[in-house]
Amino acid sequence: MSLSHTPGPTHKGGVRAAVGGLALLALIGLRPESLPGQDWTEFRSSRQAHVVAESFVLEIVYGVGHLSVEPAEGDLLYDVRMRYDAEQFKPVRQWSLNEGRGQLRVGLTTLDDDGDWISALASGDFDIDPELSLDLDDLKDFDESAGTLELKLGRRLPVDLKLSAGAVATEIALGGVAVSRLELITAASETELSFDDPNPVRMAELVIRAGAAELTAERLGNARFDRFDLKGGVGDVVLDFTGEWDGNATGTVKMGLGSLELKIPAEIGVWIQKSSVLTSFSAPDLEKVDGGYRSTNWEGAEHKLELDLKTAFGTIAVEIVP
Amino acid sequence: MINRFQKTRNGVYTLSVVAVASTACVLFSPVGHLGTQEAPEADAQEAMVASVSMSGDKAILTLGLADGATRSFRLEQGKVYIDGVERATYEPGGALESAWRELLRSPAVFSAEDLARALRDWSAPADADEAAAEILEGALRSVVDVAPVVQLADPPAALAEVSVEGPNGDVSIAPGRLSFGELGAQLDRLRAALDRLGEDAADAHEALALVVHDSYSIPTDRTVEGNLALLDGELSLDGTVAGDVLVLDGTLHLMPNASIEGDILQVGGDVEQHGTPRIAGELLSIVPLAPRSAPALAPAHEIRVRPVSRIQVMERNRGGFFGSIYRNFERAMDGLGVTLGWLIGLGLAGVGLVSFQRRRLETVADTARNNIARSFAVGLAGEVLFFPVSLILVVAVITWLLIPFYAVAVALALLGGYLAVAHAAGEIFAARRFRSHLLERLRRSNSYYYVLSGLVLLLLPFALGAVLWVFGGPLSFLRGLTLFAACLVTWAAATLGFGAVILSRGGSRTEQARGYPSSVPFATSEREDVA
Repeated sequence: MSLSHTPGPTHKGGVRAAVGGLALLALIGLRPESLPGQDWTEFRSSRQAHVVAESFVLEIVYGVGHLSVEPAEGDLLYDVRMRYDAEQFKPVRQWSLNEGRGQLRVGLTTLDDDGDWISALASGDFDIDPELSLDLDDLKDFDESAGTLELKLGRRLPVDLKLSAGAVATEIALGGVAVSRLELITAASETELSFDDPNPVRMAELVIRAGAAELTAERLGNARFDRFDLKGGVGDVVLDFTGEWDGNATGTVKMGLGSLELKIPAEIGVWIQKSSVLTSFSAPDLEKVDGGYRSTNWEGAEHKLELDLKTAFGTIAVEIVP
Repeated sequence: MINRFQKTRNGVYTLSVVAVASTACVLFSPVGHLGTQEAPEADAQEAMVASVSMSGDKAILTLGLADGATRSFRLEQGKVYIDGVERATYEPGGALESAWRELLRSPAVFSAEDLARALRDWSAPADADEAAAEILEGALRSVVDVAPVVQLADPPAALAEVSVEGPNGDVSIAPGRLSFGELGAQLDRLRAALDRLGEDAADAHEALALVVHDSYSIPTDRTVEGNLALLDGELSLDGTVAGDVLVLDGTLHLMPNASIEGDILQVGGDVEQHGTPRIAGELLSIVPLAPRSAPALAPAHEIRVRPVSRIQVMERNRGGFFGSIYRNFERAMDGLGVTLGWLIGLGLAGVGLVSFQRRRLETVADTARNNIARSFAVGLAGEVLFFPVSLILVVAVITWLLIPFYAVAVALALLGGYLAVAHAAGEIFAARRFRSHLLERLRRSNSYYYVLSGLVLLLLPFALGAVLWVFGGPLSFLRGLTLFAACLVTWAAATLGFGAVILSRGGSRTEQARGYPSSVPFATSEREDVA
């Protein structure tokens, strides 16, 4: 079963995302017996932008701790720093450069039951091991022992970014960073995604897979995506689509259980198709047409957003913001 | 000093000692000692830089003058270069080169008092190439006569310089103040870092062209051909390194004009960037942190994850074979403890029931024994109907007040029924004859014994499942099967007892309890005893 591809109907998608997230969390290094100060080590890898001529693909797989992403200053292509307990983890970094296209994969490996190092990066996918499971109640124990991963991304080259986060507090600030594609996979985490400044390039796709998580995405209009795809398991999701729009976009949101809050800027036209099981829907500023809901400015709006919402249990609230 | 890292068959990088390579180059920048950079400005204006670089095919003296100008004198592969311009030729390895190398190895070159005199007094031997010697001597004297050269620092590393004969010629070595212990510790760190990096460090076994173990600087116009290692001290790099840079300890200052054609691998010390030095490759760092540096998350960054479910944690192997045994034993004890806790709790409830409602308990137990199928069916129906009945109670608003009573009644019926089944199981157990004298001695014939022994029987699968933890992973399937069976038995007992409670109206009706097998002597005798 693959985490990166979780097809299926609404609630199944959510549940799969949740289960997959939990498995990812276990696979990439949740260790309940973690103790602070074992063998803390800092790993750093950075490169300057001139080494890559055209594009850049970056994949981060990170298990437990605090993950932050922010724009880099100067001529950096990337600068990633990890602080981790070397007693339990080992850093993995794979770099390749082919025909002007750089590719970097960074993550941590940990020990399996046989004492061998395993890595989510090794297979290129995240297979679910039925033997691996976790107790989310134990996550509070990681407050003091969790590591950190800090990623700084340069603004010069378009980056195809894939972030897979386990039980982490995640802050992703990509304002001004040229992101050609973003895939964010979170298991049980608190995630804040923001685009304070416009994306210099069009983002082909913004994909989010959230297991049991609180997700807040702000200024998504600045992301300038063509397509938005969110699959959520359990949790509260806030999607703020404000920002500087420069094109039309479509999106799909599939949620299992939780609340979904959508903030739509008044200047764009929005059309929402909804299918749900036991979900309350509140959209006082939208008008119901043809089985869907659309904003009153739909016909004349310069930029349009079409959303397909599929939820199992929970609430959906749509707010038009000035 | 040249260090060469070689990879052994098992993938561990080892350091072969202090070898000498033909490309080797030992560079000393004694006057560029970083400590002098903090000297008072008046002194700094008089600062001169005298640096020496020697390898098998070249020997270079560079003088920095008080006005900021730089003069260089280089003998390389039969040619004399003055300030980078070829001025004459000489016989490689001949008298001129030998005398020149001898001068550059002279302690006087690194002495503040003797430098100018040594340069002025130096003269090529009579058998040296005449034209080349004349040009070189003249160039040296033109410098020292115009502007006195002042040595600012006197690093011990340079003073201790020696020349050794290697397989590819003489190489100058500058022993510093690095002890074997310090060097060993750094190399251990290097090995650990390379091990952690694994295959990522596969290309980190190139020979080193320059090893620095004190405080030096490489100025803007200088290029280190090959790889560089900083063992200790400080290195201010404003020039170019054509290869990789390895930082074992100390501080590498990357100045604005610095250019590194390869990678920087840092396994200790610090790398400080000033301005925007150019690094063609990767800055890769893996440095142990002091215990106090372990990341303490700011309150805003604390993980706050709401528990959404409780799933058994499967801990991973840690601590080797004995660690696994310990953890398995720990899990087994935890499981047994939980089972014992349930036994005590249910046992107390059973004792209370026997004490105050013995007759009803016995009636329910007899009903369960005598009408197993019927009791189970009724119990199952009662469980199935629980939610519809609850829904009816909810829908009919006036019945809301009954809901808590209904829920409590069902819970008590399930508990009482379970205890009654335990009683019945204990009664059956007591009716058996055992070959074991111990079991025979343990056998009693009263309701307290029935309930407690029955509970032991019903909870035994849980205890067995817990004990199977001792055997770890190989018996995980059997453990799961046992726990599943335990849950099944518990549900069946509760359902059976629930049905018996319903059939006997809470033990008040004995019709369903009739037909008691006469072949169970202890049950009847117990009644008589108690009565």
